[in-house]
Amino acid sequence: MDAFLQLDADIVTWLNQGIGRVYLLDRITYLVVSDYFVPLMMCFWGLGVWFHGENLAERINNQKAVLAAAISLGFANLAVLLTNQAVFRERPITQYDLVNLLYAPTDSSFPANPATVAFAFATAIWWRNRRASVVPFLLAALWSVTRVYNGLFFPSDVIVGALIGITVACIFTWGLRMIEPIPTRVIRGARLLHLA
Amino acid sequence: MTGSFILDYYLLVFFASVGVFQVIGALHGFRGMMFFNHRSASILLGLALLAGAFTWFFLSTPRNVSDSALGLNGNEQFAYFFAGFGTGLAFTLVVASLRQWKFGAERSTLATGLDALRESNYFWAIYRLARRFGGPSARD
Repeated sequence: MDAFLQLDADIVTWLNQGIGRVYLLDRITYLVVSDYFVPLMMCFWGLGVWFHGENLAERINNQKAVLAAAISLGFANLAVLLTNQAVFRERPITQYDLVNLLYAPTDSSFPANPATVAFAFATAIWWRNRRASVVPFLLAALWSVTRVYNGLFFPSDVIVGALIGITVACIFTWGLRMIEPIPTRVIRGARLLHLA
Repeated sequence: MTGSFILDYYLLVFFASVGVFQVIGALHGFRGMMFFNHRSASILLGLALLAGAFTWFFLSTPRNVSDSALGLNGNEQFAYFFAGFGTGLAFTLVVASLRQWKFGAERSTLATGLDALRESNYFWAIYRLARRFGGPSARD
């Protein structure tokens, strides 16, 4: 276990040495590591998926994917909140001498909330539209890596967070299928108002 | 304490949403969502709004601030995203209806759902819906 934790720490401290070396990379990292950029990009991507579809069946399928993604995102957040009640792990930035382009959060490092919600969102889309899930998965991976790069999470926090997010999305995608025709009726209601 | 970023975040989502709706309208042929008749103009406007909103938000002031200071936590982001996107959608549909007032006015029937916006503006689509469900205009 100690060797594993040491490896976790070694990866963060090694990656973190890159900050401050290339100005352009730092600027891009500043944007990507932010609390706002990736979540907004994902939400706007979801908006695009909602309206996309070559035919009605494909569009309804995409809209169900977006519904599942929004619900999964909320419950993934809840899963992190509940886990944090039982587990607290200090952030790498507070344990080691690291440079950070975000700020110094004080909540638990484990599990990584950004990885949890982003992978939950991407997985829910993936279940119904493989192609449309590529961008959310890339954004989720990029966000997670930059958070580790900035010393905000250990790699294991991100991996476990992603697994929690994927699990939550699988459960809620399956759950939405189980409660049909409710999701179909929600979409039918939006279709009545010409919004779906 | 939160607060200062709320309006900025709301405006970012509002303008970016309007931009996204212009691009979506142009790419999918939902003319009833577009401010211009020309697809290329709508795409250009949409991309400009999207890029402009993000550029303004991230360059106007440092945004990597804790949610215990001026930043927004996840729940607040979720709520203000829906507020900004909802008003962006309403604004888009109202402005597009006013800009293309006669689009779809002469049609007696419309496709269902979003496809109605290929044939009409949102005002006429809702007007027909109201008539279908026996609103006052149905008895005229």
